[in-house]
Amino acid sequence: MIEGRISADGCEAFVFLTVLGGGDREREVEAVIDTGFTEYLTLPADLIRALSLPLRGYGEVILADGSVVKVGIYRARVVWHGKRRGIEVQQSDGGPLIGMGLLQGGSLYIEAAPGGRVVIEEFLRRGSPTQT
Amino acid sequence: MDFAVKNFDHKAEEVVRRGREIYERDIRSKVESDFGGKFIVVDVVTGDYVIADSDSEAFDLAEEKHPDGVHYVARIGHRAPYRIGSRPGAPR
Repeated sequence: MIEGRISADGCEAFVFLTVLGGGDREREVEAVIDTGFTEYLTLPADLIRALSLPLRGYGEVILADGSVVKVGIYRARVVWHGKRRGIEVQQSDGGPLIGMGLLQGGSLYIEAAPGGRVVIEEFLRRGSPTQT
Repeated sequence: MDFAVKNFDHKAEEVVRRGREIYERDIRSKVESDFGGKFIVVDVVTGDYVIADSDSEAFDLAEEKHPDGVHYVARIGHRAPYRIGSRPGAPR
């Protein structure tokens, strides 16, 4: 189970996750849950540098206003539901975001009020009644 | 400073521009009818490309082929491979 919080102004749901980089570098990152983001995680340039994440390539992201930005894509490992997994990270300097890619297989509970609870649980477990 | 200005990355601009050019000129007509929705990674140095179900797999294959390549990712039949807050097919 992953636990987070709603911000004090009630406007954002965030969780903490550990991002692992090159060598034994790791950082605890506060990331906002964004179900409109199709991928796993965005990180700002300074964190990508601090973690020495290897570059995979470049591509484009369409933003909410329809505009397109060109970004670097990096490889990282994160601790998610207690396990390490490799993911792609898009560079974005607007603050870390967790997207639907990382949320796959999880259920998300939000108490949408200032300081409210945020809980992400795995539901795609072996033997789970939801798995057909 | 708005998001687009803050995120401006010269290297990304150049690689994406070259990648798009190669894709439109040499690749698009060969792949679009059969591989819609899949991810393609183009090595902008050699023009070689690989197609896979995810961007992660496509990067893996491209790095195997060209460990020193410079890689551009796209999603076949889509305007861009990734979205933050926009819906597919939303007006430009």
